Amino acid sequence: MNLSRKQRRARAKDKRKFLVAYAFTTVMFASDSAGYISAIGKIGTYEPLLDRMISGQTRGVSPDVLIREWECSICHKNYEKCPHEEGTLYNGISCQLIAKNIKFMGTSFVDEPKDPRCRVNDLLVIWEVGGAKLFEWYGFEVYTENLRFKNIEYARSQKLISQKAAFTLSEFFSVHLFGKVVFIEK
Amino acid sequence: MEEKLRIELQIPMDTVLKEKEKAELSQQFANNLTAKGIRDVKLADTYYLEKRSTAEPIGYLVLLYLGGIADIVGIALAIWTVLKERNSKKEVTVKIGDEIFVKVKGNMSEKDVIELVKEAKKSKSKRQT
Repeated sequence: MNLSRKQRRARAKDKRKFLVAYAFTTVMFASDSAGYISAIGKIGTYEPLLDRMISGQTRGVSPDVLIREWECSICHKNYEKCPHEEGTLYNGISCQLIAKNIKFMGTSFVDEPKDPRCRVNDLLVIWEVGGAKLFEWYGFEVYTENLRFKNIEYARSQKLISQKAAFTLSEFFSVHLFGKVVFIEK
Repeated sequence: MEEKLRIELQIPMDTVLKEKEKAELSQQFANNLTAKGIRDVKLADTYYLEKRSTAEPIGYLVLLYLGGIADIVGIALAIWTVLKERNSKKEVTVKIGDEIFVKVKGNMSEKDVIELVKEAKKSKSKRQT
């Protein structure tokens, strides 16, 4: 029976079994430096969320943060104890609050994050096909190019991908800014 | 020794409160909890929680109280009384222990609050069975 290319691809897709996916994200950026916090989200079931991530519809990330202290931007003391009021101008400088002593509580995937830099940067989807593992690595737009290589290296160090796969991915993304790489490992 | 009950209040806040305002608010809640028969009410912790996952980021002031075992309805009514006294339209999330969650608003009637707690108790027992 002769099957068209599209039909063959559809059949191959039916045979594969979803194992797990990992979303590599940047969840929070420091306001006064280039520092950021990155996090990895493990997705255990194939949900519509994955399709939404791949299509670009839901690629934003928003964290929940516990804040124990607020610093006043005028006097740099504890805002609760200082005489300044948030939003008021003091010698032409607006009083702002700076979160101190913070604890990261968790994260949510959203369509429009508060900080547009907080996004899913890479997505690793692992399938099982005929006893072998099929890996799909989606490289989306990144805030800094270095971040992609950090994600690849982290995936390798956590044994999510092999050394060889990490090399292939690094090679691909040193030429392409974003894209998809598929590889199979027995 | 009597086991202490954990009462956590999540109050939506537009801004950070000054020390005096926060002390007044937490004392008002503590007084009303005591008035409803909860013994040894003590403010154990306060912090802010910023939930950025919603369309409009919401900041919450969290007040965590510990107190003697009490009637759940009494706790919800104590919170409701404070909101009513302050003419507040805020919806305060009340977590009692690890099981009961109720959202109390100042513009609710006393009957609504009691019904709300009954519903929360029912859903708790359903979860346990």
